[in-house]
Amino acid sequence: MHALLRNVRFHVLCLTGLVIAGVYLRVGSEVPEGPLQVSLLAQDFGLLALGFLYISLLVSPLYEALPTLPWRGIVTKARRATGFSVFILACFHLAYSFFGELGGFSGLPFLDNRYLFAITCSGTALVIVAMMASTSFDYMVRRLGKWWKRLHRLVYAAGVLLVLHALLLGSDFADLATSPVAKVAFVLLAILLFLEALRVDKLLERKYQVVARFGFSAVVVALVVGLGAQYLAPEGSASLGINIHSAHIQLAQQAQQSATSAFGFSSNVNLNSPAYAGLRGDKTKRYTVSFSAPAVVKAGQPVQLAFKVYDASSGYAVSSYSKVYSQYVHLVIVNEKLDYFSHIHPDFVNGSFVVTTALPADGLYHLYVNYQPFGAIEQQQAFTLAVGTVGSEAPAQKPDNTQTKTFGDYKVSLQTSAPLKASELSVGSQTLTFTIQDAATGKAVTDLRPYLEAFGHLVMIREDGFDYLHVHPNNLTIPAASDLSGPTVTFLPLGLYGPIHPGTYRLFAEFNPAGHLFVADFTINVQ
Amino acid sequence: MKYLLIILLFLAPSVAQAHFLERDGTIGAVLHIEPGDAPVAGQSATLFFDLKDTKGKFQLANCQCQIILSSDGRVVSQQPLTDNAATPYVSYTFPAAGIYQVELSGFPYVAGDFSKFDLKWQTRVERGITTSSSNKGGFLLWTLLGAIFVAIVGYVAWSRYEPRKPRSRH
Repeated sequence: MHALLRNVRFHVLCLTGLVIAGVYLRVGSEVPEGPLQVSLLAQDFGLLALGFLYISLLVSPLYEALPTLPWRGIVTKARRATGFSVFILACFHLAYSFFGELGGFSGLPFLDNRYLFAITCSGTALVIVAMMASTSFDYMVRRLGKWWKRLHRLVYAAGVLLVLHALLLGSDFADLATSPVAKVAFVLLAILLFLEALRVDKLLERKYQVVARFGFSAVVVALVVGLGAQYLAPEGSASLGINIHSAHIQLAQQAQQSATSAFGFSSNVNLNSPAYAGLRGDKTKRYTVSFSAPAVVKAGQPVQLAFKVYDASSGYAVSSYSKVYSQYVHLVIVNEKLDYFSHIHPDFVNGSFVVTTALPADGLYHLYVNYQPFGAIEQQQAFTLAVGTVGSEAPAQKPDNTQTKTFGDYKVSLQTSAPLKASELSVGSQTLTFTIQDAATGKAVTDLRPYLEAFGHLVMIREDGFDYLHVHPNNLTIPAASDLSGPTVTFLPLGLYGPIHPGTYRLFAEFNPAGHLFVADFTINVQ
Repeated sequence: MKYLLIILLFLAPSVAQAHFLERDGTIGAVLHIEPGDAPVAGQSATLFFDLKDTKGKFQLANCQCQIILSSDGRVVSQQPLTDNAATPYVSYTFPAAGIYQVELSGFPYVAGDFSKFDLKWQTRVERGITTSSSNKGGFLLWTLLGAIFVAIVGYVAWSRYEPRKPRSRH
């Protein structure tokens, strides 16, 4: 026992055990049990195996270059145990990455060639490390004689293969500009290469009397400085090129650029936000909608309305849709005078959106549908429907004199930061804020509940031309059913389907305080 | 050196369930997330899907594929996965730190092209950091590492070549 405690190799193995326990403690405390833990463990054990391999590779060239360094005997003796630790840590990495993340051998057919090449590199390296670990005992050293050293020189091949493996797959090695691990690894590798190059220079000098004062070592230094300078240069590429993430980094940058330039917006509108899910999809797809209603529609009588959507390029009916604010389709109906508003959601029946409703009085009605075919962006179409006898009524609403109005139990105020301008609204630079109070007590309403995944829905219709905008709050996160908000709700209009025109607009804003859904209507002027 | 490495490792953030192969039937996909498989709240992240069908029938152009991102069972984003690059991707800005589920599901436009599939991953989103401070930290680390490299190369070069001259006279 005493001899064991004095053996440095025993201490190295104990340290390895402690490191493994530390990794489990760290990962266990950081993420709940499950696949995320597997990923973290795979990554940590992989990095640790590389670290231990680096130490065992560094010992010889370091002491050869600096023979006066202390503890040479102990460090050299500990090297075999360090190599054995590499094998143990590599096995842990194998268990979590190959069998845990990639599903073992049965997962191989699902992987592309870059993965298979990287795995082949690490698999070969593991076989070499396993051979070295199994011959790391004094008995095997004596038994193998001169072959032991030859066998153990394969560690350099294993090192090269593992560096390739890490460069190909390692998340930490894709980008020198942002990853501290990549930076440290780059310099550590440079130091090792420099020391090994010194050994080569020394060998050339000894065997062939070539005085290599500026030999391979100088080449390595020049290479390292050159590469470092390239990565540090402002326009330099920070990616290591061969890593499977390198292409991703480029694509991600392009995606970010295209997201900010989409629709020509340069404002602070975040088109990646969940509220703009309706804008993600094929922007070139076009659809036609066939609208059907009975030939004669009478006021106050139930009427069945149906919409069928067709792909304009193929003519096929569309059967698959994404939900927009919790519904597959939103139907807004207003009358010609713009004093009637209805927001309903038809059902999808036998390939058509169908709804039964009743329209209150004779006249012309305007119908607007919003829907998002699967894979395309959100679509919007308008129709008209004549009910009973259609007269010559026209919207005659004048802009409100007051910005505060009462709707049943609630008093609603409308504020804008500045007079509304069509050009500003079109690019999302102006907002409309509604403040809701209890009409009786004047108390601020703070129990607004989400209605259709938002704390408010605002429809804006221009009196001249019946241009239609369906607007949602600028708070882009979809609230949970239990979330509450109030007393203010701020809407961010955008000219998504074309510029917003100046004119008089009727606003219909839906709010849901304490589950009492109501519509607040205003008439405003947009310059 | 060994302790330095261990300390560095414990400081290194590594968060996404990246490089995880998820399979359903004959279709499998590996998820990667930029930046660095470690998405940060408030910063745009791009999710890449390395898709492969062992039967070779799957083509993204023939698939109604969608990505659903959710947190605590609440959907935060739903978007189609289109054939937009060699490795198809979607972009999203995670609104807050936490654990998110990434779900990729798809079925063919024409029945029988391939079987429908549903793949799920998890990713942890770190809380946001400011870009300026990370750049500053990056430069400091480069300077420190560069100084270490120069010191080692300088010391080794000096100790190797200088003491030789007196020895050769004996």
